[in-house]
Amino acid sequence: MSRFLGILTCLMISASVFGQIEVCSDCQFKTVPSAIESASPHDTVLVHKGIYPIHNMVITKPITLRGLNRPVLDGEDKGYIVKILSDSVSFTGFDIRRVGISHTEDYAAIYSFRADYLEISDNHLEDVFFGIRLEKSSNVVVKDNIVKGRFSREFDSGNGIHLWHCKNARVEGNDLSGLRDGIYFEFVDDSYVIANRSHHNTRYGLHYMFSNDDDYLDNYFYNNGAGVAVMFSKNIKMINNRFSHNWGTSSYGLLLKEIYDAEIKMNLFEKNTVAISVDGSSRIYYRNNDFIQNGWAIRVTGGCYVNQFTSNNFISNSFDVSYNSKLNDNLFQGNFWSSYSGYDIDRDGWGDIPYRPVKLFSYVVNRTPETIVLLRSFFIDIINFSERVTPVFTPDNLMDDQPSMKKIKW
Amino acid sequence: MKNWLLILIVLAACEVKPVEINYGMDQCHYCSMTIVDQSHSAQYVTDKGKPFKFDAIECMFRDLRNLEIEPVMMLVSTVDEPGKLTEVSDAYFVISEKIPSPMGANLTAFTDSTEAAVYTGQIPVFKWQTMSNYLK
Amino acid sequence: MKFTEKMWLIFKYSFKDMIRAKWIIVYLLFYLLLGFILLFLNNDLSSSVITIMNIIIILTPLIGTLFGVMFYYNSREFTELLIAQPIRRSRIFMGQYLGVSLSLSLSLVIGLGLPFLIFGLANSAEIFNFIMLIFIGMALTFSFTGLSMWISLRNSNRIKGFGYSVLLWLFFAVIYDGIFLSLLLIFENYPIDQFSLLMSMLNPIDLSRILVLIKLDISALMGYTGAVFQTFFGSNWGIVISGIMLLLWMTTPAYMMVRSSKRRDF
Repeated sequence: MSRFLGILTCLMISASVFGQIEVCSDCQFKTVPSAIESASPHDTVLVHKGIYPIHNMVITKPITLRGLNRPVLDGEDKGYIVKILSDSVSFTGFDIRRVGISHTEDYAAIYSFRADYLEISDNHLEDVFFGIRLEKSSNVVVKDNIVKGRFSREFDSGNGIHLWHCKNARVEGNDLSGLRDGIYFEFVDDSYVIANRSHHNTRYGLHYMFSNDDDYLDNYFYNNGAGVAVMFSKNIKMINNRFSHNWGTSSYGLLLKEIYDAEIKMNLFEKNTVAISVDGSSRIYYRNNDFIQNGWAIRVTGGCYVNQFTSNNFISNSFDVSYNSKLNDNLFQGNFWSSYSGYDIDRDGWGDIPYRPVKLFSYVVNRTPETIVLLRSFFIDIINFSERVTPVFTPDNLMDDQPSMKKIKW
Repeated sequence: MKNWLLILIVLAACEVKPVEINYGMDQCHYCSMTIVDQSHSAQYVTDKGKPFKFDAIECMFRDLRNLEIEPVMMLVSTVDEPGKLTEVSDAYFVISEKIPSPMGANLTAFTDSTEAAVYTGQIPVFKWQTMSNYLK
Repeated sequence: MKFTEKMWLIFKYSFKDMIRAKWIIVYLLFYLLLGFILLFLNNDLSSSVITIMNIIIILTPLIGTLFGVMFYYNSREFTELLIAQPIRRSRIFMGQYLGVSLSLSLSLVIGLGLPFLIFGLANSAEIFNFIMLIFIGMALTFSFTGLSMWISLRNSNRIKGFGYSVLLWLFFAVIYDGIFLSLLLIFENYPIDQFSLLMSMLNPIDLSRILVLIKLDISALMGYTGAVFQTFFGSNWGIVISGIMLLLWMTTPAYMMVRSSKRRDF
């Protein structure tokens, strides 16, 4: 009881002690930095509608910055806009535009360094170089922001949400477009990326590098240079995401490069040049994914060990699986392959003869990419057929000995 | 006439020369990433005239270790002249956290050694030949 | 204008002759059946277009070749009679050539067009691809009819003419791609992208296949390899260049045929 009273008093004190400072053209404080200057820790700074030219504004105390009716912070292409160097800062409800561009400095609209417990939400960022760049900051929430880059293929595109050496981050419900990478995690552990839309970015929708124990769920990646790249990372869970129309000359839905112990479940890959490009990745579990109308569904290069592909749907892909070496410790079982031409006499729902997902031609193309000009040629059909009858080049044991007769539902 | 054309085209194809990097389009030969960074990209051309492109200098360096014959041309983009390819022998290299590179090695090239020193301060500036002392 | 009139007469005669022959009806029925079955089995128009492409680029050259040779040798006596008349040889052979190739093309257009008309021309996205497919089929028909008649003209021995013509078809349809693939694999360490494009331009069947693939979504797949493929398959350049090449492949055999008709003794 006494503890409860204690908390109550604390709350009452905080309500009176933690003040509220307003910023507008008629207020006592006309600029945001001056308000922050005179604010005490844990105060709230309310910024009213208006246009505020700001660059390199540094926040060194824990405060709540809130925009009312979307005030605009204009960086006038001069460099950083907001730099957060303190814990427990909340930053919500702003329109931010025109971040500076540089070859050697990664200017960002919102930048933090060694600042934990941040909340950055409901901001609209436009014409940014980097959008939100957080370094060595943990327990951060980045939520419901819209970040738009300059839609340029040149050097002046940075990343939308870029985390470097962070932990326990939660990036949720953001919309990212026209950037280099929509979201980029570099040395980021134990974090979640949930329900974001990342599209029309030059390089990737989402990019992991040297990051472990992260999950990304329910995201939608479309029309990016490539969808998602997960590189040099461990224990990444990828669940219920949608990768579509990453359809370009060097494009793929998902790139896995030297990653271990990942789970890829219930994702939809549609109309990507390559749905998943795998290079040197082991102990990956692919289950219940849909691969629909991709150029390649799975493209494997380099040594990949102990990977399991179970209960996936492979529908109308030009190549289901392509593989450039003979080794194989991978398991394919119980998948549905639309190009399977076997039968099911015992009516148990599984095809009676195994399916070989690797065509000879896909092996050839992997070795000499230029041979792709012979795609769908009559001669190629002939050699594919003869290879299917008597496999010579494609791994003998790479087959699904229990192909499903019907599309798998989950 | 037609034969001549054929021979000409074949000859043109065999000429050893670097090709332009299509930023945002081309893929790194080593790590498959899309090449976007105009100040860290690299390229080598084999004796048979086949070019290979890289998104980072460290990618080219690592790829070269798997190569039996040294390529005829090795080129890198530099921070002080982004978008332009410089022969590795003419470039100065620096490993510094101040300039992050695409593949995490923080390796950057400069055309101008004094420029490189400005950026790095105490950190050594080295040449391509001694790269293996600095990069694993 | 008298000569052209005579050519028109010969054309009409050849055309009617072809239509009267049972084989062309079989050919027409085959396409009708194929079109209906394909559209009936899978109601997905775009995948039918790909299947039809596979059939068209192999079958139309073969049929063009066979009919060209057969027509030439069957009507040889009549042709020799005509040659004795005051008509320019080029008109005679051009008339015959056009009669054969146009009647074959007509079978193709009706045989495939009818099922597509009935099954939903409303799908306007596919109609363009479909029309292009028909044009390619016609181009191949013209090309291979011309080639086979040219070969027949140069060989008075019926068996030889027939053999060479079918061999030529086999060469372009299958053997060429085998050689092509081997060359690409042998020279894989060289920059072979331009070379591979050139090789595919030099075979009308490969050329037609590529033209269809450019139009279908698969073009991105092909551009995967590098800058040269990217510009070729990614922009309109590919279509323009392969279109021109296909036109050349259409007209050159006819020209060659007419040229050797002038030189030959009958």
